[in-house]
Amino acid sequence: MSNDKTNVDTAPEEFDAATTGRREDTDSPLARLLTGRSNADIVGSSRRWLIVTAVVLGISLAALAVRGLNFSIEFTGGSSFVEEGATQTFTAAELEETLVEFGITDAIVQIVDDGTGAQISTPAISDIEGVDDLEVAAAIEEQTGGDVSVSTIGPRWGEAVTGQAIRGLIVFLLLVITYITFRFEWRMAVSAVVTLAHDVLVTIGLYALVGFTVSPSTVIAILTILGYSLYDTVVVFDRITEDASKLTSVSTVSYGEVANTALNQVLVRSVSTSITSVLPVASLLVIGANLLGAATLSDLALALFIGMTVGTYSSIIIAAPLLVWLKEKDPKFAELKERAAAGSA
Amino acid sequence: MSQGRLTTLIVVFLVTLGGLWGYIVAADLSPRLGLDLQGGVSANLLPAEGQGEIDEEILDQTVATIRERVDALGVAEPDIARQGDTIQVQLPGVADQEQAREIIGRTAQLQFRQVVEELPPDPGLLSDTASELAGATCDERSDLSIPDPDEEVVLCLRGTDADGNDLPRDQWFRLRLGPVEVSGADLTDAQAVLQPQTLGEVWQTNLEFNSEGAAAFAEITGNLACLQGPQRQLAIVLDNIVEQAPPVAQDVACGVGIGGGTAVVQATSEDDARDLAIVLKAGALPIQLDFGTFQTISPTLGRDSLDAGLLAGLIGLVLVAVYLVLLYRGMGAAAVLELILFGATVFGLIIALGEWIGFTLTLAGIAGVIVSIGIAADSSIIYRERYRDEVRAGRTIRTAADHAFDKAFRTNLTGNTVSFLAAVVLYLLAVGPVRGFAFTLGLSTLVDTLLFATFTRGLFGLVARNPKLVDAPLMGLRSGVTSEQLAAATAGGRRRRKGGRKKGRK
Repeated sequence: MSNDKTNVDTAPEEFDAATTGRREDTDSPLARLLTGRSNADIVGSSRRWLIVTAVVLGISLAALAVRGLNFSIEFTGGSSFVEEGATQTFTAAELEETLVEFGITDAIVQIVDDGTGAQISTPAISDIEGVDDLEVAAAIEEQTGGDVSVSTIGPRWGEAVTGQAIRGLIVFLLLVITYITFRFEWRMAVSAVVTLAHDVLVTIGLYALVGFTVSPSTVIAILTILGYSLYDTVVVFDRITEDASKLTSVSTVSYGEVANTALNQVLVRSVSTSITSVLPVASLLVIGANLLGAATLSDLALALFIGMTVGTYSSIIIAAPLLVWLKEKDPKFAELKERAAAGSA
Repeated sequence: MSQGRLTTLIVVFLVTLGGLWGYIVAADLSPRLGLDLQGGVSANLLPAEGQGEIDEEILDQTVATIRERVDALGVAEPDIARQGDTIQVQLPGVADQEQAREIIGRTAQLQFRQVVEELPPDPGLLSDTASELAGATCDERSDLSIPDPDEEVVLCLRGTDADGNDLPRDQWFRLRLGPVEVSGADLTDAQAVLQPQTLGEVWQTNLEFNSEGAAAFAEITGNLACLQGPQRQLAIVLDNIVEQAPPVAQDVACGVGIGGGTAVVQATSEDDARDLAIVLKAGALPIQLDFGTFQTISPTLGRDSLDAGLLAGLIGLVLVAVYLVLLYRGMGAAAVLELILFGATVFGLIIALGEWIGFTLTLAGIAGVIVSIGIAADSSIIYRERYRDEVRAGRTIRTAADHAFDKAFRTNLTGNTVSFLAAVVLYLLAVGPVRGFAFTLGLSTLVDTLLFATFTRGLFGLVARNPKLVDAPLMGLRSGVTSEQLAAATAGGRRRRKGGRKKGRK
């Protein structure tokens, strides 16, 4: 960040009038942002953002339609074996051979941890009531001399988890719409929910595009993104509401202008909060991904990472302009807008 | 708010946190770790498809049955719980995974057997200790294997006290039982009913058999009716435990038995009648369970996941701290202090809640905490940005800090309400790992608001009231504001403060 710049700000000479003018001239947009003088016309350029958003959503939907989602064994059923601390040497081919002896032909074997560990995932091994996968685990242990952890997932599990997630989602949305409507107003509830839908679509779209595996952790993460996206949107709306409360019928600024100013004022917060939220998640992502077996961590972190980033920009780029658009349909604010436009013309 | 009250806020918070940790250290508590962090067997069971609607009572009875089996397995701290239609079984440190899977996934077995002999709880009182099986007391016995339906067996009779609660297993009587006469598959229904009698009303459990069961039941009760004493009893066995052994009524004719495919078991209370009906139904309608998930996690993997989670959290915390200091300098350092206390509070509560309500920390739970670092940092950021706004608007440092708190706290409450709602809904409606995540997320949100209202408010307020800190460039209290604004804002403030100081010296 522009630390050097802000360092100058606090230096004692900052009260010296002579240095003031000079510094003003050299202020970069970033410095202006950090010192709260950002004046980007976000609301005014909402048409441009609308096009960008439409393109992003289009790509997401196309990716979903064409490539579809790549579901993990938790959804499709199957087994995964995690081998750790092997004391004997082995190769992926040898492990595959062992699996073939059990009749498992399409397993994915990865050697990790410098050859002392392995991750194997297979489609559903025969009947889940059987003991086959534990026998397979025992065979792998014998071959490698390490510890094998097994996860076997029935084909109906993903369905159950997803069903519950969807129920949770509906209840949550109803609660949040009610809360925002009472705390603020219905237009904000509508804008927040549209923003939310956007965030989820873009996140899932990216999953389809890149081909990331969708696991139950992804589902958790998406639910969390909803909460996060709403949180962010609500913080922005809180500020707009506060500033707009000063608007009267004789004001010379429009609701849109007020919203734009409010947005600029919370811009540092939005950016900083995203950075501070994404940093721990990034740490989770890197550590989880590099650590054997912590698949839950990396799956969760990846979806969160994407969702949080999307959630931050959408609360500024989509939620607020949409709100302004809805608001200025109201005759009272439409009139204000006309008057403000006339005044500046 | 006066300086004294701000100090009080900080002190109250620190004392409470100190008390929490003092308790943890004194009681030598450590977090209760989920299976994914300590290793063991974890399974989620779902009723198999095509069994129609399965009611709550039967699912609860199924959970109870699985719990009995797991107890017999001798697992140290098993956790068996129902979440909606799903039954979650967590068995830390189980050695024999195959046995565990066989036992928790098995369908309940309901049998009717004739009582051959009653054996006292203590085998020392027994003269005939012919079989080794007969020698073991009920608490020593394992009820895991399915006994041969065609052989005599010795099983334990569930002992209950006057209130219907289970007695300790070493006080249970044992029964030598004949071969299976009627199996649960032939029982079609069981209902608890209130039956009018000459001397008032009595609770009883009505049984209904299919035609095959009816014939077998008539035959065995006809035989039993010719006998007296313990041998007149018919034992109702569920999963190798004798639930009840009611005697055949005296008015049943020898050699004729109870016909018509229905039977009645007299009960001592409504609960008694209902409990038996549920037990019978659970065994009669053998509910098939499918494994939704079955996982065995090695202790090494659990340990590694825990380390990874903690390390990720720590690194996340450090990165956020660095960012906050870069952005806000001294104010950022105060924010780092807030974050550390946030971490200490959340971690302390996780440990204490493990003790108080049995909360177990899972990998997903750790992820919840890590995600919440962002929430905690956000509160600090909202406050500091608000503060800068207020200074820009021309307020003095001190009033800016107070006004900023009021506004930022309102925003914090609004935002955190949404997060908290999300966490509660996730917790109530989700299964498996989602719950652990939702729990820590909700907890962190609460801690964040609490910390903000006490410590953050107190600390920032006190710093803003301390002239030396206000003017210290490293504190950064005057940064982030344009020079003109600063000059305007501080000129008045400075003069006033200087004046105040002079007065103080005089």
